[in-house]
Amino acid sequence: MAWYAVYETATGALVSVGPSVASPLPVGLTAAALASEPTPAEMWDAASRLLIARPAKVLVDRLTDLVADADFRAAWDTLSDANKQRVRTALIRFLGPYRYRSQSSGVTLDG
Amino acid sequence: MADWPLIADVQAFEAVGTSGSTGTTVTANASANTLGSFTQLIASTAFAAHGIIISLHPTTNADFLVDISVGAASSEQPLVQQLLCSRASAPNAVSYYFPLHIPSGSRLASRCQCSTGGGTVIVSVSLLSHGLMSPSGPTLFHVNLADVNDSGGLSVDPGAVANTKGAYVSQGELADSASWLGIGIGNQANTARTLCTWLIDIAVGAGGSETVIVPNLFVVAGTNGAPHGIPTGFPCSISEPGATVSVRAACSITDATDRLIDVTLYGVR
Repeated sequence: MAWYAVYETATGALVSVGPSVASPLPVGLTAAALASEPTPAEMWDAASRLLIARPAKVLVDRLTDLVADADFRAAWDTLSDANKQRVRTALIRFLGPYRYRSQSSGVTLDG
Repeated sequence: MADWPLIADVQAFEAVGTSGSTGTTVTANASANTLGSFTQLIASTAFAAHGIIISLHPTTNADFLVDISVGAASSEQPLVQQLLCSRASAPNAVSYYFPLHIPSGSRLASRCQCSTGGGTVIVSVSLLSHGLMSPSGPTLFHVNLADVNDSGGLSVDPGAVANTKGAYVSQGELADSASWLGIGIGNQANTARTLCTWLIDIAVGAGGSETVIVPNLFVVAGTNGAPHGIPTGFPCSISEPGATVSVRAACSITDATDRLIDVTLYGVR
């Protein structure tokens, strides 16, 4: 099955992606054939009028967020290495599946 | 047949697959994106049903496609197929309603596949006699946009401009005409999201000439939660059996991964 990207001719802004194209196309739109159905790993680039690789997702360890917090850091720096490890182990246990956040997300557990 | 009977005590409900405070655990195949075995929900239903509510609660962080089938063991026939549900890190549940005929005395069973393999989903069902939009004739369920390769749906990208509808995405024609639409929302196996909202449009028409038929359905996702909140079933007439159907969305964020969402469509003719 052929796939098409329909975009605004002037700006390259993507309007539609799929296996069917209106005939005739409305004025101001261009249809470009794609090699295959796009995957979530691809995204449209208006400048080049092509599919490009989507940036990889970046995860942030909330333990890093904690150590970067001024109040937490002030207490953390008073701990011995052994107690730092105990606190770290406990935090990992308590955070569970919420240990990592999206890079775009805020540092608080607001979900 | 009335949507809501004027005479009291006519409508009946039957809970299926529930016990205590939960439903029936259905387990996916150990291999990712592979259907597991059927698990019986009930051996024999009490009355002829005209509607079914299906509640799904994934207990594994994964995307799931769930089937509900009718028939004797080893002879199950699909009633509804590939119902999408997801769990990121936080608990999630979704309920679907479909106006479908289910004969009295039916055995109901469920099976599922998931994006990680071996995951579990809790399934509970309520059957209604004389339900909303009770069908007066034979009913046919059809599924659209589900992707069995990743146990998800059609990936919709709202684009890099926040709060602005992105491009329509289509996979082609609706499988059949419909008087009822169901919508599934999936998480794309994203375990850590950014708090955001979406507004989703359902449209018909070929690429470049789409017409929105259902505008601005609301969806939300928390920091560690799967997208949820969309109305999962409502009357919607699509009379052309071969209508090209598409989906687009606007999102409150622009993160290239977290703005993505999976969508499935289910129709009842």
